[in-house]
Amino acid sequence: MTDAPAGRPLLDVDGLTVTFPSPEGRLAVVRDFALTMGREKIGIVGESGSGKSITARSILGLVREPGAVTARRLRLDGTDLLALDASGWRALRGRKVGMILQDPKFSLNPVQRIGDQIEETLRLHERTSRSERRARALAMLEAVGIEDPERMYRAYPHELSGGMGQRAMIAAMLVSSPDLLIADEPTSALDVIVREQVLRLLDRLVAERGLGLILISHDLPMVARFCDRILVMYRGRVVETLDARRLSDAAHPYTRGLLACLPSAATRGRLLPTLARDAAWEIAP
Amino acid sequence: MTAQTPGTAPTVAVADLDVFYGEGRKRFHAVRGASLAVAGRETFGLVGGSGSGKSTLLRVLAGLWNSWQGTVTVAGTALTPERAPPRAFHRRVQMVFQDPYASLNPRHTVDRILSDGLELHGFADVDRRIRDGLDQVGLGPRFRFRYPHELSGGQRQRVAIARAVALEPEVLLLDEPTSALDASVQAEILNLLAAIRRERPVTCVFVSHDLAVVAHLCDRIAVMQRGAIVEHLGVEDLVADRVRHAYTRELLAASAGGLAPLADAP
Repeated sequence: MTDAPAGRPLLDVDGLTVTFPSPEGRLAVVRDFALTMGREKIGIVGESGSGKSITARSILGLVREPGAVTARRLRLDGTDLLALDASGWRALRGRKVGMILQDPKFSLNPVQRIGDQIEETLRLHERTSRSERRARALAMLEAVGIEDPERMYRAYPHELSGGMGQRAMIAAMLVSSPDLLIADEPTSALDVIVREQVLRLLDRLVAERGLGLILISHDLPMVARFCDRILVMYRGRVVETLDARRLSDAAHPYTRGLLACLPSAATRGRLLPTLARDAAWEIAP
Repeated sequence: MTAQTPGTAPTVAVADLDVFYGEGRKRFHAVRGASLAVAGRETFGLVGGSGSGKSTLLRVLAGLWNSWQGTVTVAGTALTPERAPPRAFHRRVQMVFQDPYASLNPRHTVDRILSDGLELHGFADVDRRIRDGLDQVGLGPRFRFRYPHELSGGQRQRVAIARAVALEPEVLLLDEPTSALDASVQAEILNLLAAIRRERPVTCVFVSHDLAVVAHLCDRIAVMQRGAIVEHLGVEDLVADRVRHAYTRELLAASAGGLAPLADAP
């Protein structure tokens, strides 16, 4: 899985391991994760507890004590993330890498207007005038498909629907032009139609701005439609890496099981195949 | 209205239903003129996006919301607006909610969660019913004295289903019971629901925004948008792509287009 683009990779991770203490000693929730990516769309797929979200949080320096992150290599656009201190991380987050979480109700500040939240990254990372910040926030709201940017700029999060909230979140993350965007289940709180709209929006923005994207989800078919490469995680470990256009080539029984258990009109009147989990999946090949 | 088995009264019948939240100028009209009929032992899907009114309609059927106008009959009981249904109604009509984390009391063991309902409704041999109920949902006796926080999401949803089914309801109302679960766990719960349908004379109304799940499980479907039912469909219409309303088409493209690359979609 080293078809990295020519030149310096955007993200270069090797041997990433995240552990938490437990009564039986330190428990690894991410084991030996490796990813070399350029400005492409990578999907990380797995069930609850597979370690996909913790992997993303460790790339953002957001794993807190008593969790511990170790890696042979963890570099973002040449910066050694393992050597960063707290202020180094703060300078990086928002400016170089942004993150969108599942539910905008919890990730937006409920007592701050949307416009202020979008401008916050600019205030923190760039020397900009008030009017410039406002102009960029409004332009960003327009770019994420908000019909009345002025009204959205003044709105509070509770006044927004799920889809509008997620658009505001995307605007806040992209306004300072990061190189890498990490989206952790960005659409799983949305209904199917709004999900489709938000995915198309993300797809367009990532292409227009030449971003690298890591999309994390439990929804394998959705990720396959959206990404170039897919990493399938099971209990902390990547068990398979797939070309997204070749989902049917999946060889690992876990990946095949995830695909087989999906309901549809074609499965009517039949029992759905369920996963017969194998302890061997947890052991490195 | 759509066809139902001739000669039998529907188990769930709704005519010209309007549902409201709030009062006066702030009154919100959540369901507008909805009509539907579900025959005995049928599984009926209620599909729509967020805010379409599908969960509100289900709450009226469950007797959990009574600010409405129209005619609603469920399991032989004609409901009356502004009045709570009799206790026996809640035994005959049971609901399973979307979020198994929020719908089970975190301070009660599985045993207590199941026995409360059975005792409230005057069931004899509660002990045997709890054992049978846990067996039927595939949990078994070792889960009986655990607390919800000791269970996974799928196990909690099994407890919620066991709680509902233990009361031998005539009507089971399911509000997105699998949308908070992983795909493999969703498959297990859908298989469980299919087994319950096979073994028991129960009529189901299943609310979802996911047409793929609904097409797998349901016989007939009503599509809701902004409070109104815009289309009634048999599942064979869905399969054969005999869909008339633009909103249904959009839903279909978004849920069943699962394997089409994003760029190829319209």
